[in-house]
Amino acid sequence: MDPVTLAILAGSAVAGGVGGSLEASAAAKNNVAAIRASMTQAQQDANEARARNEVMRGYQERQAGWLNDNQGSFTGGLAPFLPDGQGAAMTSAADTRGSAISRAIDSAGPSNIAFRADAPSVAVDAANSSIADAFGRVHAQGRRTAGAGAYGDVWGGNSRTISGTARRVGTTNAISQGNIKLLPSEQDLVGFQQQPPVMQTAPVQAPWYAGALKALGSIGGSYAGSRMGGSGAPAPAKVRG
Amino acid sequence: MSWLSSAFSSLTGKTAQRQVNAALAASNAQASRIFDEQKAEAERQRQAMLAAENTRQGNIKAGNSAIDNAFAQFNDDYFNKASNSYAGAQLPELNNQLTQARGDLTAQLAERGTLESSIGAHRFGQLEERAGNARAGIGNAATDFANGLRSNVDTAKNKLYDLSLSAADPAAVSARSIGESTSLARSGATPQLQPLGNVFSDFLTPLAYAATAYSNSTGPLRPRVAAGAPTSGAGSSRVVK
Repeated sequence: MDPVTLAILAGSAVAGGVGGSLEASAAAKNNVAAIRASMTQAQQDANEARARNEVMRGYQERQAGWLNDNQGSFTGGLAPFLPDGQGAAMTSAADTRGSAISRAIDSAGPSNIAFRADAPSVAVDAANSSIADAFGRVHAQGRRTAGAGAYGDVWGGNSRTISGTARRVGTTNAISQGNIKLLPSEQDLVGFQQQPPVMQTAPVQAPWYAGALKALGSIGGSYAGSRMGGSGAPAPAKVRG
Repeated sequence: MSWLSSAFSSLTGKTAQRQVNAALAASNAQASRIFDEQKAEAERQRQAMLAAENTRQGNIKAGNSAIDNAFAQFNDDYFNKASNSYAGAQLPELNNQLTQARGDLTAQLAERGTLESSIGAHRFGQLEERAGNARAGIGNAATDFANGLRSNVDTAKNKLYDLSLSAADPAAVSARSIGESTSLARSGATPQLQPLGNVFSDFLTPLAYAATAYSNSTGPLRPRVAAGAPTSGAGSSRVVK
């Protein structure tokens, strides 16, 4: 191979290599930019998920607090229904009703009978005894009535206790449910704040001479090849005429 | 000549890329500005939403407190007074009736000559028992009355709590609570009473019949000494021994 052909061949190879390298570099930069955009988006998605979870954690803590309040209300409301509590309530109700009955019975004293001054003492004593016996029977009946009525009084009290507990639980529930309804909206709002637009970048193009160098290399290579006889076999000798 | 075409293309592409880059930079800047505005607006929305919910919860609690305050007067002391008020309204009438009945009984027994007798003593005892049972009934009814008031108060509180939860308007709930509690307090202070009726009418009637029979008879009414035909009055009779 003559030196000129060798030089053309080498120059073509360098030009083609540099041109190809410049194009590959531009493609690689585009790939890097795409990867960076993808990573940025992934990071924003992660930030959004974190922000959404943080909001949800706050709601969970508040809901747990309200649940705790309700359990306290419920336990407190149940306390009177334990056997000891019901027994005490029965005693109290019987006492209350019994006292009201007893006060009413005793509101006027025993009758003062208008006996004559010379009435036999045995007759007066008999009347007083009869009246005292009647008072005793009335008081005994009153106690029985109070005892029977106490059942209804206790159940009435229980009903009001349940009602009061339901009011407290209902209020807490209303607050809790109103609050939990905000969760999706607040998550959306904080999530949105974590998603700034990903900056757009134009694809990087190889410099204009990259193609020229590649073309030059290609042309030079072809020329050098032609100088070498194509297949590398010795050129046929010219026939003298 | 493909390398010339490639080079030309690269040159024109470079110009276009500069234009694209400039457009993208402007677009990115605008997107960034819009996002900042939207982010700030999202945060405003979020804060407004949370503030509105806090206000709602505060209003519910304030409404409930107003209800509790308005109904604080309905304590055990109030219901005891209501019970006493009920009994106090009925017992004087009963005692008046008893005084009248006692006088009538005394007169009737004296008329028959049995005032100072075991029969008279027994009748006075019966009268006292009748009066005592009636008083006990009033005491019992007074307790029922107080318990009825307790239920009315509880029902009113339930309705007002429901109103407070749905309206979350403490001023309206407070006004309504004061109105309801005032009305309820009045009903406890001035109980609507059932007429007592004449408690002793049927007690005295047999004696009245006896007195009528006596006045219609021709002879004195004496204790029956033996079963059989009347020992006085028109017509003949005899005692068979």
